[in-house]
Amino acid sequence: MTYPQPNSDEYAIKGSQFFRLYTPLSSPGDIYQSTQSGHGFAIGPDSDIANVNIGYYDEQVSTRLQSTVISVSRAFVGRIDARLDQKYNPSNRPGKILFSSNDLYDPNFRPRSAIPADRVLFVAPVLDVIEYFKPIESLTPGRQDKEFVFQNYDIAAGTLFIVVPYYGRKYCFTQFTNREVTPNTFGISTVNYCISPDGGSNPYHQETTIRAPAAVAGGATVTTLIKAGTQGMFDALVFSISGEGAAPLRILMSDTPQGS
Amino acid sequence: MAASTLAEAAGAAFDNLQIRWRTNGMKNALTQFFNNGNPLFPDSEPSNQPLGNWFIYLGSLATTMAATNVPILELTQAAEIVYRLCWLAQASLTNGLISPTQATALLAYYNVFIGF
Repeated sequence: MTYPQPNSDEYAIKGSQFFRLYTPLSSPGDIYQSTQSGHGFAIGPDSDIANVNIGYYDEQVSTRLQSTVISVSRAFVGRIDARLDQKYNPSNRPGKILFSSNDLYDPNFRPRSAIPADRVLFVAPVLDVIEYFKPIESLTPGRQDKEFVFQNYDIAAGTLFIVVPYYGRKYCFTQFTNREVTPNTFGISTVNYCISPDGGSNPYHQETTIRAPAAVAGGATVTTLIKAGTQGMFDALVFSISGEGAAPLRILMSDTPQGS
Repeated sequence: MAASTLAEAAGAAFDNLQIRWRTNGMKNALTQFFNNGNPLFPDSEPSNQPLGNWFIYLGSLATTMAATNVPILELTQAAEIVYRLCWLAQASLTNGLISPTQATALLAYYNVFIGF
């Protein structure tokens, strides 16, 4: 996780109207805090994480810990106080506001089809959360469409897998073009992460094949659409490539469904 | 089998807690892990606070959990908290935010109270 994390106090002291927590995740357990009260909370425009858990002090709860989840479709409008003068039970820690991903992530994930010579590269999911310090009447949550572009790869042997976060997305356009003379084997699959022992022969992660790995001839292009209504929703997309390129891969994902 | 790393402990969290849950031992396991692990990361040391924040969640869940017939949803909640806590401990050790002594002790408590 980003450490030291951005300090919400600094933003408040300097008169900012909001505190933006924007950071790539370094582990599934990244957790951040705010020691400033807020009047609204929303997923930021550049977040890969689609669901964020917010923990806060509530004196009407026996353990004093109350929590809620904000998402790409649901912000939280209302005052949440950081109560540093009080303690959570039974941990006896100050009543700060806590932010953590409610989506699972496993940086040790390897596709079931991967062999020892294969390599897995992750695009680390980005957490983007905004806490507003001023009262607001309403909040319209929403992420911008996100684009990833790859072109040249480092493949000494085997297959390269590139894992791209896809939490909560409903539509994806992908286009792969092989600009080499020799064929490049290209495939697309998806993963929904589970709490799984990594390594071994039976990891628990749920994998779905969108395009089985197949040779793309020199000069050829493969275009693939992924739609929530037909293929489903996934934590990440996994692209497999066998040649170093040039082989442009463009990935454009959106929260807006595009057709059925 | 005992976990040899905190990342390994994270990956085995659901499987281990399932066994505790089926034998009505999950509340006790989480409570013992909390009682022993929480003091390892005092809030007075800023680099301890992220891990300490997960103990806020763990302590709250363990306190409110029934001793028997725990709903299956709370098994998932417990597994996810322990998974994230152990993964953050692994990352914190790698990045020098916690000491090897703290990490070793946390792993030992996991293996005694949650693992097998």
